[in-house]
Amino acid sequence: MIEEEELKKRKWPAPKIPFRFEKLTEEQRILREAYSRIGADYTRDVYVREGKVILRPLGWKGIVKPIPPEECAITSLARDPRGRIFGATSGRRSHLFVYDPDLDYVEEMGVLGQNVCVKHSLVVCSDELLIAGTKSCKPGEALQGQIISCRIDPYSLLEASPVATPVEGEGIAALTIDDSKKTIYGLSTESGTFFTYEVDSGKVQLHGKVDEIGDFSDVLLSGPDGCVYGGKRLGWLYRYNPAEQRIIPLDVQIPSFRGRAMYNKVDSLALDEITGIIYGGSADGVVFSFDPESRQIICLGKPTTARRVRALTVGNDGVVYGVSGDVSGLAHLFRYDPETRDLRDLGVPRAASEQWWHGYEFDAAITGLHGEIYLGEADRISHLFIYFPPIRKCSAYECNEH
Amino acid sequence: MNMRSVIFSALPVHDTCWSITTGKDGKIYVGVCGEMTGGLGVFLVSYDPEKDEVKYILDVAEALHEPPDNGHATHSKIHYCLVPSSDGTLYGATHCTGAPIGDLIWRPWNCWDDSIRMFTGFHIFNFDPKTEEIEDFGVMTPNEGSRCMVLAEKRRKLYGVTYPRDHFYVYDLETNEYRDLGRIGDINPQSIFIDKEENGYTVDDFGFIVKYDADADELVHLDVQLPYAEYRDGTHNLIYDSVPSPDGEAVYGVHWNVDVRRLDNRLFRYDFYDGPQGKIHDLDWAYRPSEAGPAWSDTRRTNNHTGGLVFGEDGYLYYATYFHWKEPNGMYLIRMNVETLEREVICPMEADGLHAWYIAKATRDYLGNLYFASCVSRPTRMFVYSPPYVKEGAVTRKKWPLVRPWG
Repeated sequence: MIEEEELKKRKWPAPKIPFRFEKLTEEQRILREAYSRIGADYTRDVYVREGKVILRPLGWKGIVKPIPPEECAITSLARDPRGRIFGATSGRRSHLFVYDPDLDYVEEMGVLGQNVCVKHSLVVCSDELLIAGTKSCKPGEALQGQIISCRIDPYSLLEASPVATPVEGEGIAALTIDDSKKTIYGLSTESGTFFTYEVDSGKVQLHGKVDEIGDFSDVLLSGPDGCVYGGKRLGWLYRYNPAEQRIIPLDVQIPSFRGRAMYNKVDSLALDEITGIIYGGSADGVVFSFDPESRQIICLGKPTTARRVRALTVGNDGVVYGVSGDVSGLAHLFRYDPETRDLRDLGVPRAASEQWWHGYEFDAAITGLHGEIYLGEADRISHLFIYFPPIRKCSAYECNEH
Repeated sequence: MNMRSVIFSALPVHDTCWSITTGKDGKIYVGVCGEMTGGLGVFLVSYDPEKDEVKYILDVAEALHEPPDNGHATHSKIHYCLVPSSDGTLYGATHCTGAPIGDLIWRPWNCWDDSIRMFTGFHIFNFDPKTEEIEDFGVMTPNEGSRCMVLAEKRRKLYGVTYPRDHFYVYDLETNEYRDLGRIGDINPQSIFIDKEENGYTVDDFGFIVKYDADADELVHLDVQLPYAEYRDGTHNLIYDSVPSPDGEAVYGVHWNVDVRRLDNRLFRYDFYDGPQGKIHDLDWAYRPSEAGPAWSDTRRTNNHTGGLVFGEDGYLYYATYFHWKEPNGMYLIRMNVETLEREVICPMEADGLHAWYIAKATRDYLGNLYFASCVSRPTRMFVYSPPYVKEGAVTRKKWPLVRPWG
């Protein structure tokens, strides 16, 4: 027990804000108003204020139940030439869904399987095929990964079927596609075996491990030169050259804090289709650019104090958007403008439409046909977030010039 | 007037009492919180109804080795997380939002990755009033506070909901294992309760019941939804307070609307055992005469809060509602006949020169006196109402549990 006398002797911090119903002096009233303004700005400033963040539940609101909790973490996004956004979830069950911007609601397409994860493994083929790669949701659990293909139209998984099991006893860690070659490139989960799958013939070929000790990133990217890029131990990059059909270690290492290379990994990759520059995010939360032609890698900085860059995409104007923040962390949306070289935290993505919701975790990002940014939330209850970047103020002439 | 207040005057800057409960010893226990001034830690205070005596029994933050001047966001509160146990001890969990010392304001999102200003994470503890010993079970999860908590005594578990991420947790008192069952919403329910089998219940942002099936050890999202006015779509349909019905077959509850003041504020009853998912009964506005107009039309955005639900020994459901349509504005004590649903205004919650602005939760003692935790005053206090039956000496037996095993 604490004696009252002891408490009375304590020096307590002085309150800064009097209560509204207290009788205030003029000075206190002015102070209260000033503090109230500071407080209001403080509480709002942490959220994305440039541009607009909205979300769509994973099911037409008011019509159907959304994809259930623990089954709805969005871990892959893909876009078709018409601008439709396709997504795959991970959890107790994996679902495929489609968001058609013309209709503006998410429609579930069906279930891929139980305890299935589709992460960084969803691609659209111009033949109107949606192709997913599966793995187990539980780390260390062996689940035979499958390449699953389904027709996009109509939105139905009735015709979905496994078309290949690339590596015996292993799941699929990542997929990417070179649509011009109708070839899908993939990585297996355990050994990091690189494989190719030809969409037309269904032929699968294995091309060996990307890393001798099996330490690799679950990310692949089709580069502007027809090669496929990925990351391995200590943040070294490699590429697969389809012409030579072999994996080539590159003498390029992503930026790392000193002494942390052992923990470093490529966390996400995105391509600027116009300049051919590849952007990446690391496990330490550092953003970098890589020029496949010159093989120059540049550290662009770290947009927030958080670890990881779990989602990254390049906007239609070449501005890079990403999400920093670790598992169980707090996501921040950031942007990098290659023109001004400004790397900037935009804030926590919080939506008020169609519902009030903080986005804490994201595992996927993709740019829409008209430059809107789609973010796949990866939480127990998840939504498709849509970020509309702000339009710069300039004359029509200047804007067109730009 | 049967209304009085007990002022915690030895804590002159502390400003809110979010948690209040009755221990098996018959004393009233209150978490006296310092929310609106940086650098204050929560205190546990007891009130002995027989002796009319206040004791400042524990500087909780200090006891948990989280001194409020360490630069972190403070362990400034025990929110709806002070619960009595049949063995006479109390379980508690700490909560955040008090600013670091010297700072004007603090929010978890602004300081999540700030190693200095971050909230270190809520502790769960057990306190024995007899020995005044505290057992600290440690930090459960960094950055988060515990908004509400319930004791499942037979199962030796605590269930709760975190803030700000709105995760449902289960703490096993036998194994000292903390498990995060994941996110259930965004806005944060203010109450969690249990049925006779000690399944846990709270709600999501739309008022749909989220059940923790204790046997299956999993969360189930039910299709049962808290009621709301016809013109609404169920958005922000959060629960604020709940209290078990005297027979234990149901709970009575009320909406939380302090952040959305124009929201209707309804009472409801949830019958656990009526149908496979239970059944919700809309009991209409907590209290709102026609002169008050509908809440949505109130462009002044005045307070419409209702809290402090507690059953009196007379079988009435007592609670406090803010009257903005009547002078003096403030909280008024209401009682409702749960059979006829007839409401009756008892009196303004006013004593010692203060008309309560916000009543959080309520409890009662063995004699049937009702205690209401008050917020937003310095020093902070609780209001005590003695129903007529107390003077008549109608309550003679000490019945346990008295009110509820949740905060």
